[in-house]
Amino acid sequence: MEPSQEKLVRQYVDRIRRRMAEAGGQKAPPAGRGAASKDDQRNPGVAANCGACDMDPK
Amino acid sequence: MPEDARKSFTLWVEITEACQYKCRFCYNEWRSSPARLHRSMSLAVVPEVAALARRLSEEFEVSVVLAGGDASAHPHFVDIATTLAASAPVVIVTHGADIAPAMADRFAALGNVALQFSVPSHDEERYRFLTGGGRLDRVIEGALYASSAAIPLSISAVLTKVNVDDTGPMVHLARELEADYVIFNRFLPSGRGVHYEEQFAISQEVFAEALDEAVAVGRARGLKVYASGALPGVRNRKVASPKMTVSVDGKVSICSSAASILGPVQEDGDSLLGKYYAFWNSTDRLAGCFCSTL
Repeated sequence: MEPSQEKLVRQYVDRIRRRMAEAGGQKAPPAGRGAASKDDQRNPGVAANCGACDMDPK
Repeated sequence: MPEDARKSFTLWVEITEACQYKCRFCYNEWRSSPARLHRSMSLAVVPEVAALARRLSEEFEVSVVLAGGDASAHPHFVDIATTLAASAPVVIVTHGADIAPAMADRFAALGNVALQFSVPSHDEERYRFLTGGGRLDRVIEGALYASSAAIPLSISAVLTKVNVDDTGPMVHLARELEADYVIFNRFLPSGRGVHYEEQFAISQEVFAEALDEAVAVGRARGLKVYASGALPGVRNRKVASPKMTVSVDGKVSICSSAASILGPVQEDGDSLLGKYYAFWNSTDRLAGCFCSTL
């Protein structure tokens, strides 16, 4: 018998939970084909009109 | 008016046009422009938004929603949330992949910050496709950090042809992540979504069937399910939850449509609210507005 959708979802989340526990609560950096485009990596949300960024460049 | 009789009101604040994701269903019109042109809200505007939230709180149960783009793409989004949370409860709308433990702890300490994750599928491959390369496992991590810090969490999903059969498992996922509720939004062919209309658009009937499935699972598992989109019985009416939007450049409008601008956020709150009431008391429709033309 195939596991139910509910069980599959639970197993998936549990797998991530275990991985997080093994990593000691540290979040892994983005890896692989991540979400950000090359454009977004060059410009991570910093806008021309955001004066605060000029004061506190990070 | 008694405190508990006040109506809810959403102050939707688009703090940035930037987003780390490339969701194919994204309705933001600016997603079609290059990322280098995306703007973010100046920190100088934030106290003005807080002042408007306090003025609205005199008459409504206000929640301030930080959105975008993706709220987490603003380089100072934690500080902005902290400032605004001093005036009203804050909901941060995000893909959730950038929520880290220290950040979750800081939000939890504020006591009135909630998170809403946009998660269009419980399936890694479909999630990756719909979000243009996003990683579902990182989002789950963010949600688990939030729940371990006792931050209220909700899940939203845009329903398309690709994920319309996922509503049941999505409710299971939300429950597993200890979310308070799930919202399903019908795909609108706007912004980046115009390029995927044929591939993504679903009929009203299909949307309703998917909601039925979600509601059935939600009822069985004790999770609230909400929906937005064109629903039977609400067509030909100007229907919206009470809401104002503040754009990245500080313009206040009834929704995100440029046709509905009330004035700059620096304008007196009484004046903005007066214009807001005037709109709803008129029979005007907004050119190009989905809500008033459905």
